Amino acid sequence: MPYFFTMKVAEKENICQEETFNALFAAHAKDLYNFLYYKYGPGNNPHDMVQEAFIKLWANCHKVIVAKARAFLFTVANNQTLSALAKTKTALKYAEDRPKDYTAETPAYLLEEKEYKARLEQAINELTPEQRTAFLLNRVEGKKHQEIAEMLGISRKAVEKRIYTALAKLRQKVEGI
Amino acid sequence: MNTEEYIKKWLAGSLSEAELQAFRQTADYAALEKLQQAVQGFKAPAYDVPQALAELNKRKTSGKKNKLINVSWGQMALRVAAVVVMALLGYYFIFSGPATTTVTTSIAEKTTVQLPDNSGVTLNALSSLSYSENNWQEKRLVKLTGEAFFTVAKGARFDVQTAGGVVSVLGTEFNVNVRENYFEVVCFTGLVAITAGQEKVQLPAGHLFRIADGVVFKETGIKATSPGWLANESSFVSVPYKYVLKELERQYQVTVVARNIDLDQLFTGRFTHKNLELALKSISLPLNLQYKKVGEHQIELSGDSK
Repeated sequence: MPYFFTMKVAEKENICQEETFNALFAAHAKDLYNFLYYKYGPGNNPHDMVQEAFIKLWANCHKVIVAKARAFLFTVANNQTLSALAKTKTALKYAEDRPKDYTAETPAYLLEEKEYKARLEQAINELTPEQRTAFLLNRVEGKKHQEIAEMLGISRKAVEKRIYTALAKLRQKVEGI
Repeated sequence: MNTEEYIKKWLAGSLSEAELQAFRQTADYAALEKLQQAVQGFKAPAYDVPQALAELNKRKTSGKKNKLINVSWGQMALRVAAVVVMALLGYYFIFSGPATTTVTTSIAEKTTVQLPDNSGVTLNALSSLSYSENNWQEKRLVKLTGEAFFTVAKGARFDVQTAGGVVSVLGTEFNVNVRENYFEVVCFTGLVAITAGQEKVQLPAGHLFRIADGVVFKETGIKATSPGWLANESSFVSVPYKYVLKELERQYQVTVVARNIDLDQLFTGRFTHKNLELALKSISLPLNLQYKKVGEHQIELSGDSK
């Protein structure tokens, strides 16, 4: 009986090759940056931490296989940021330069909006880093629960719980419920 | 469905059209949509991937340059010591005798070596051969770990020294396989004399001699004129199964974990070096075993025999 196998035996693609390494950067750098930004805020050099993580990957290119590269990068970057954690971390700020698509703005309305955003900003920064990361990766970056689970190394159920809890906390702070 | 369930489904994006319509009517929905809009204001700054990659590549190469400049005292001392050692070794080699040549193979690698008298040796994976070129015509001696197939030119005595025993020949073709607790010689043409522990054996063509785990095994009537592995197929005649698994690990980059299997049972058969799936079937089906890939480089083999 003939066997039909499409498996590749002993694939030789390895991270020490420039092409493979650059492809890994294109695939993972942005997600890694967003993860660090949402979790630790802009004050903890997310840009530099991404660079450092990839430099570590390059230094260890013989020991890491392509399939494990993402997990390696996320773990290394997270640990690096934790060690370097600034005592006073800069909080996430509401970006004011978002385009306004409504034109009728009464002063009372504007004031209410401003207060709402202020409460929201405080609430976001009061979330635990874990809740904040999962919530923002989902609601702002549009990552699916399963994708986030893989990035953070936890179960999908754990991700859903973090997001739900974060939402409840935020609503409580901004809506007063 | 209560509010909590609606919200959970909304978060997961799994509301049906009808459910979404219903949800839209609620005050909760309005609050959630407002929150959703507002939260967009916390989006991380845009990440310029090509620019970051260019910066990374600069840091990679400049990092290397920095290492060259910042050589510490300790490293200098180490380098001086290395040079001194090299000089001493150099003197040793010039003024003393033999130039030893060593050839080693790694996993899934085979290679052929030509000896000074045109004898040929082909090495199987994870094997090593060393010999001295000086005086070759008078004394032909090689040291072997692992497995090799020899084609020995006629001439003075040719000795293969291994951890399991010594094989001496006069113009012949034979295979020597030495692994942990395993010593096997197959003679294809000519005559081979083996000294292994207490055993002294004369092995004619078509005969196999093996000591595995201290047990002596002999086989005659071998019709092949060269070993299977030269043609990329490992073959076994009544070999304890654990050695079959070890050869599989040498030919593919895998580790095999065996569960509930009698590793001493004798196996007769073969497997290819070119297709892992086929190889696994060849060594599992005859013994009624199941195999499973666990991760990139690990195979789990399980049976219910014991």
